[in-house]
Amino acid sequence: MSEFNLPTEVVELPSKGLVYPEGHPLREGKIEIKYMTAKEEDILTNQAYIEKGTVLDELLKSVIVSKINVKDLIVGDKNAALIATRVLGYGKDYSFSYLGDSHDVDLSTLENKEFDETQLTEGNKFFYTLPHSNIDVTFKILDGHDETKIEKEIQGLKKLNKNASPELSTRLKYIITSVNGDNESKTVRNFVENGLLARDSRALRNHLKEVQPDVDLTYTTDSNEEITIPIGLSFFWPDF
Amino acid sequence: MDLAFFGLTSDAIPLVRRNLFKQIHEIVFHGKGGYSWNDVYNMPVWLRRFTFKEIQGFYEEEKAQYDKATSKGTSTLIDSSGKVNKSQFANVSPKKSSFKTSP
Repeated sequence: MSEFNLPTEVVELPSKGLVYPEGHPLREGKIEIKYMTAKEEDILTNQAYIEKGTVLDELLKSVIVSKINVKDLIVGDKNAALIATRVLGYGKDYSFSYLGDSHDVDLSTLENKEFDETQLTEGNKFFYTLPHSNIDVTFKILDGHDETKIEKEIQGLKKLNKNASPELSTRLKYIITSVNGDNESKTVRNFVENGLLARDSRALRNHLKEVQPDVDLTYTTDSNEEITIPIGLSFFWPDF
Repeated sequence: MDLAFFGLTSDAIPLVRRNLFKQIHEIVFHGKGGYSWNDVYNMPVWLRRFTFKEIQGFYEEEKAQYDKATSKGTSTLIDSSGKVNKSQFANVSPKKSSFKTSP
């Protein structure tokens, strides 16, 4: 089978690789991506992947040339890889609709958010003092492995109680890695269920959003309103 | 950013897949033997779209030329009433006969 041996592109990760352990291939802070072909469009239209919610992981598995496990990527780095894949496949021009108006964005001008690496204590570990209870916690940024575990746990909990909405608390149980220096999973789980104040939970989530490395998707409209660029159908289907 | 991906709906998937494979087929079929199915399947999307547009442009141009040429031929020598169109007849008739007869 003949294949095009076209050049690949290197994508700088918003995390600069600092959240990955020493020696990990992602520690270099960049990944190599190939151009999208019909094979990747085939993946994007695979109904089984779409229903399972794995379509984007499968797409990244196919385009990332670097020897990595896609599930090792944290969400912000995955977003950078997806945007680069889109630009290499369909170009940099992206149109979206907001409040009835059409807006055009040059995706190649999007920059990574400023990542304050001094916030990292070691590897993927951040320190934070909860503002209302003054409890010290460490937390991490979730990767694909965590997301899979969370998904399974939520499904299990929903089987036990259909009316439960355990999404947020389950996620926090994975995000928080220690409470006042105690990194026992049982302690963390018990703290999230019984000791974490709603105000602290909110503050922690806001802090996480602030420090989390990611692509800056802020867009300023003509009326000087700052919005997050919505990712719609035309992101991977510009002709649709 | 919580990249919320809005995938294709189940109604749209067959249409999109049909368009994708139709485009591959058109390039292979009309590419004058220059492309195999695997060539096109493994082409970067931008190159496949470019190739498709070029081939489409070529055939559109060819059709335009053909239409232009055949539209000239529609000025028939004999009109619908059966009369000979003298001016057309004069245009297409050789000025001199190449056939020479001996005196």
